[in-house]
Amino acid sequence: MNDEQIITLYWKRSEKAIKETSKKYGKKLKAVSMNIVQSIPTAEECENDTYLEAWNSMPPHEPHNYLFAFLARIIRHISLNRCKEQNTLKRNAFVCELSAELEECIPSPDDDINAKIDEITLKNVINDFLSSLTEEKRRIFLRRYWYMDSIKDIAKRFSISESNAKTTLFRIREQMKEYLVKEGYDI
Amino acid sequence: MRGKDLLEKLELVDSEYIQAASMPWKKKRITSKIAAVIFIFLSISIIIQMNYTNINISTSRNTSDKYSSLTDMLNYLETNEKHSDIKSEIISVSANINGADEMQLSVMYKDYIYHFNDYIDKYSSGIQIFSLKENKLLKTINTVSSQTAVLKEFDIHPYNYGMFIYQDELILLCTVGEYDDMKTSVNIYSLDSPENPKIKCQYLQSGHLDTAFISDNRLYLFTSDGMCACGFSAKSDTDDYKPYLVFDEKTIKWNDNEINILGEPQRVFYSAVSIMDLQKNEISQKRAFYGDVQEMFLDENTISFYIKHSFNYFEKPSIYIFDISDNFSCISKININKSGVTNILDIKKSGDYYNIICQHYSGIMYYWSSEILAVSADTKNNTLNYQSFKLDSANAVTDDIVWDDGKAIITVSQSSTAKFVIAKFDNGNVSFKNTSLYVDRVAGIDGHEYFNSPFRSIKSMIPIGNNLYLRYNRKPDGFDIIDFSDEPKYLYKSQGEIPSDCRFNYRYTWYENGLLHTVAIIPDNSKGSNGKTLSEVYVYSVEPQSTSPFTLVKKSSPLKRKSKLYGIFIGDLTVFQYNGRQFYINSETHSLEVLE
Repeated sequence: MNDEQIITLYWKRSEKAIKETSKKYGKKLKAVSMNIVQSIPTAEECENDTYLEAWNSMPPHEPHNYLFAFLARIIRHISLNRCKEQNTLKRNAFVCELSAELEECIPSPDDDINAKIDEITLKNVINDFLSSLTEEKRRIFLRRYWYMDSIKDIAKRFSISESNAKTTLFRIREQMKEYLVKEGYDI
Repeated sequence: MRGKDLLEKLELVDSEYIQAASMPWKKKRITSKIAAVIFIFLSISIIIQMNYTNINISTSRNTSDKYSSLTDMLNYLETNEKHSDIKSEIISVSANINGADEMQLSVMYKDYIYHFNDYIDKYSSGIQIFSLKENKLLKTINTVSSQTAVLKEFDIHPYNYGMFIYQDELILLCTVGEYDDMKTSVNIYSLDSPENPKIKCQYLQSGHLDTAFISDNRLYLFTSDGMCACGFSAKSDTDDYKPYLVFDEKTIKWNDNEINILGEPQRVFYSAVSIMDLQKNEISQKRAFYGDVQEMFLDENTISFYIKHSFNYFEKPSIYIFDISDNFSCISKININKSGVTNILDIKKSGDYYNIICQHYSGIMYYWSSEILAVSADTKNNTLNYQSFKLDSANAVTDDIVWDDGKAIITVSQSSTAKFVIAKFDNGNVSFKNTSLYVDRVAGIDGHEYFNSPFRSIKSMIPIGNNLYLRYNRKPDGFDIIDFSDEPKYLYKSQGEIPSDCRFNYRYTWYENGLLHTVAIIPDNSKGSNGKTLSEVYVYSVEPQSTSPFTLVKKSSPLKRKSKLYGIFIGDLTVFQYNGRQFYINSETHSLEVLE
């Protein structure tokens, strides 16, 4: 069943929508969550919460060309929140590791997020920066910080060595910092 | 901002990037020498073929040069099948049949409306009977429980459905079954007692319901299905790969002479057609077409299949035309062999001529160009003519095509606007006319499959007489009226007064007292609760032929009442005329509403 048909089922309030979503994207969504929460039962809970959120979001949303991205964004958000709520989750250390890496991109790290930059500006900044990268670099960056893949998985996915993956990510972070400074964003 | 905040806020990344990053990465690193060799090889191949065009037409009873029978095809595919997880998919159908009855989601008979509701409650679907006299829901017939043993196993919601009224009978069609085992059920009810329909006849045909129509006392049913033929999953018997039909609990086999293989299919996928004589209450003809069917075009007495492998973008397309009235004999095969990529957009029969519109792309590396190809094929004399029209950009997209009076009006879009190109067909001769009127795009309307709806692909332009056309734009303005009598010009252009999320019900456009009326559905997301979205129904009315300026004459009126609907689905709204009033079914409250 294609995405269009699945979305139509949501709009028709047919419970088959969830079955079809699970059939088509369940494994991939669980993998996104597993990367963050590192626990099968928790990932399954996040997956179920994602379907509920999708059910409540469609309508009004119609993610015709990006159903997976739409669902992945939900499960990432839910999984990160679950990490926050349950500090004991062992994956929290990995989230900290990624946070530390990303902090290298920020010209002036500060605890007050809202005082410095609003969400729309931040969205534009991030997407403009990503559009300036090559396709391969953009995907490597997103696999690491969006999908939260390990260096090993990234190396395997892009057929590069682990050291090459680390170097590429380091350079992207440097590029991002330079980009933010150059664009004059006072983050 | 700290690193953890940025990590969280990466959820703001564009969906396009997220989706792309979820796909497998194809390594592009190849050495420069290999790249150079490949480049030179490709360049030479493309230069050799650059001007290669061979569009031909032939007649042959044998529709496949490669396979002599279904068994022959299955033997080959057992080890060579292009495997796809998607076995069963709905074929796009463009139907243009004068005088034929089309499927409806709700039908009227005497003082009653019969409405098939696939979600009466969590577990059931059924036929709702409304009384127009009493203006209320009389009863609901649960279709699952009323079915005989043949259908009892399908205790689930149907996916795709439609209804007909034929004489004193109600015919309900719906796709039922599990994901990998779809069947289409046809239930015929006697309406001798309209309040108590009695099941009279049933049959099941394998596959998704693609479309159905009634013409000349015969019910034409089109379904499609696919199966896996590769490796160990191959079934032992050739008959298992044929469609099946159970008519009144008797299985009717598909014989070998009722099977056509179109070209060289790379997987098992078929379109099954059965014709039921409604007066004799029997299946009079049936045929199965195996092939890589992209789209099916129906005209009076003929059926055309657009064949192109889904797995190869550069595959040259073919069209097979069959005469339904002559026991599905093959009339013609048209091959469009042109270097580059060709996609068939639309086919229209006009006498013995088949007029075809294609979009063609050719080029190398970043230097691609696009053109529209218009072909007129004379199937009687096996001759054809064609012309091409070069588009400004390779990125130009054909938004919609409307056929009228020997011409195809083609809307070609580029970024946010579109303009018209007109292909004229005159007894086999083809010519193009370029125009300069720019209009809003119709993305999301034409070619959009309305799943669960018999209306399926909905055209965004509707001829309204005297070379006038109503053109719906989903965004930003609603609709325009364009005069094509000479150079295209606006007669009415909406000016942003219609909400951008408005959806038009294309089937309901009518003239009354010099005004053109059209029904629109406007979702009101602010009122949504518990996952339900409410809508308001409006009738917009414009005066199409008075002098400018053209303004919106009425908004919401004659709908004094803004009716709330459950869900926003264009196909849901069917309007019935009864005693000078217009009714529709509110599928949220299961009640009849009056448009007034």
